[in-house]
Amino acid sequence: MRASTWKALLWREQSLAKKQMLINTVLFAAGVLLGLLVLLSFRIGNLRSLEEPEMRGMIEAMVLFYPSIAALGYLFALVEGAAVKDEGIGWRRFRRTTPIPPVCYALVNYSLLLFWFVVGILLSLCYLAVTFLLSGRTMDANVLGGVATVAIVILVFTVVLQLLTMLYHSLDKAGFTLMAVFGGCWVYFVSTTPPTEGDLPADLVGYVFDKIAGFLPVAAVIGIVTYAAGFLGMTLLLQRREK
Amino acid sequence: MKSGEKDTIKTEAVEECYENALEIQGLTKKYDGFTLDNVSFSVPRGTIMGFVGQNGAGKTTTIKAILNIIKADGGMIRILGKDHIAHEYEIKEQIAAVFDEIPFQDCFNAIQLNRLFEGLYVNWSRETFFDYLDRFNLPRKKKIKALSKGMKMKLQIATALSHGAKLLIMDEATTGLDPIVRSEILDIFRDYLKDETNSILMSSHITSDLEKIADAVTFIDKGKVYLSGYKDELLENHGLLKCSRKDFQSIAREDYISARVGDYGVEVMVADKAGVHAKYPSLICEKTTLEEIMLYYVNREKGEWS
Repeated sequence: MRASTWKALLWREQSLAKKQMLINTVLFAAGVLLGLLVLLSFRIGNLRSLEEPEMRGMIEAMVLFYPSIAALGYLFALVEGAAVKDEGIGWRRFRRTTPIPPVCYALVNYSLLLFWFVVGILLSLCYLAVTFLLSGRTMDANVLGGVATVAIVILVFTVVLQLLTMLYHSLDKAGFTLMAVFGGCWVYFVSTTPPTEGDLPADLVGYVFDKIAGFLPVAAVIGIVTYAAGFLGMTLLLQRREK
Repeated sequence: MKSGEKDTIKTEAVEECYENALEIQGLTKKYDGFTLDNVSFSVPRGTIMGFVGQNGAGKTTTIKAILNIIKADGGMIRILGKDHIAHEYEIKEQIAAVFDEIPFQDCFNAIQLNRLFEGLYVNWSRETFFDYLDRFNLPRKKKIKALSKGMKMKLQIATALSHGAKLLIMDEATTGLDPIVRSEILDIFRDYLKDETNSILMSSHITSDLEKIADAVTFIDKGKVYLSGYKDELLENHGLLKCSRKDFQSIAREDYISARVGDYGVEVMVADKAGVHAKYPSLICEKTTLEEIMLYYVNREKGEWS
């Protein structure tokens, strides 16, 4: 692929997702601000007087996880920006009249997914590094593993959502199908996992990171397979001719 | 010999080795309820071919097959002398397609389209593109969604003509445009055809446009090509015979395409004006138009209609 083609297609996808990316940036920034304020409040504000450890743990967990997940929302922004907009007009047909093979379009798209996946992880880690410092925690391997696992799950969601959107020509239908399938898996997982006995652990945040990090090897394999299969699937969908 | 010189000579040799910009033989595509049946025609290099037919006749299906947007069930398509599938991306560098609706995201403006197309086509010329924008009075920074239908079409044509395409394929591109814009677009095509290596396939059911500009015409109906040739020859050979019902009874069925029976007489379309005149010297055969030819061919199975 020519460098100018690469640049032009990257620019196109990014431009189409610009609005969604901006919205995501606002959501992420709001989450970060809220998180920092809550954690500061735990140290020097009103929340310092909050004595129930369970409630404290839950609030802390929420303000730690929400921005971390929002940091990976850029992946969804890409789907909502480019994939969905392409479905609404004649671009799919026009694309077939251009001298660019489908694999190039897929390569650009998947490079961007990978780029924003890495950016999402880095943003998450930066945020967690600051918040952990504020809450007196230390960043250990389980935190890194937990962030990576969540990021991989979001990447898998994104890849599948994008393929389903292209297949159904509708984000709503794709989202519904994805929710149904993953919701079913979640219900199965919850129903087959023995309940935790006793109260919530004192260190809820640490407990959640430990739990999530335990899934990292499985998540990594699923992530790599989904990413590779997604790339192949997208190339095939782009190659597919109209009926 | 330098490599650049070699490339130039090779390119010229390739350009010289085809007579028809587009050649279709036996193109077949079956759908439930519709079949594109053994379609064959050619667009000679340097000409504009009008591809005429009513809605649902098979024009868009044919164009989709040419562009490899759909898979044909049978037949052969050669574009610029090359097989349209074996040399797909090489060919697509040298052709351009224009559709009835602009296929670009409406959040882009002309400057942004230039940025995109510079990456899509090796031979993209930003000077040519911006010249066309100036010529069409198209704003550079206005988003596509804010443009009128005519402006959108002109923008699409500007993108199609800015990468040195040798064959322009248009699918109902002038449909829905007002006569002024259509006239401007036809002028653009005349300019484009001043380079005798350029060709146009223009699908439309607005025959008046084709009457003005086309060198050749192919008529398609119900998936079958029933007439293809140079426009002047078709108009020369065909004629509209106006006669009484009594005179009409004397005309043999094989001598006419179909006949419109009215209250005051019969209008009969004939494909061999000279032959019919020799056979029926008392009947006067008038000149006809592409629209009338299309109309009478579409009703050819009925024979007589009103």
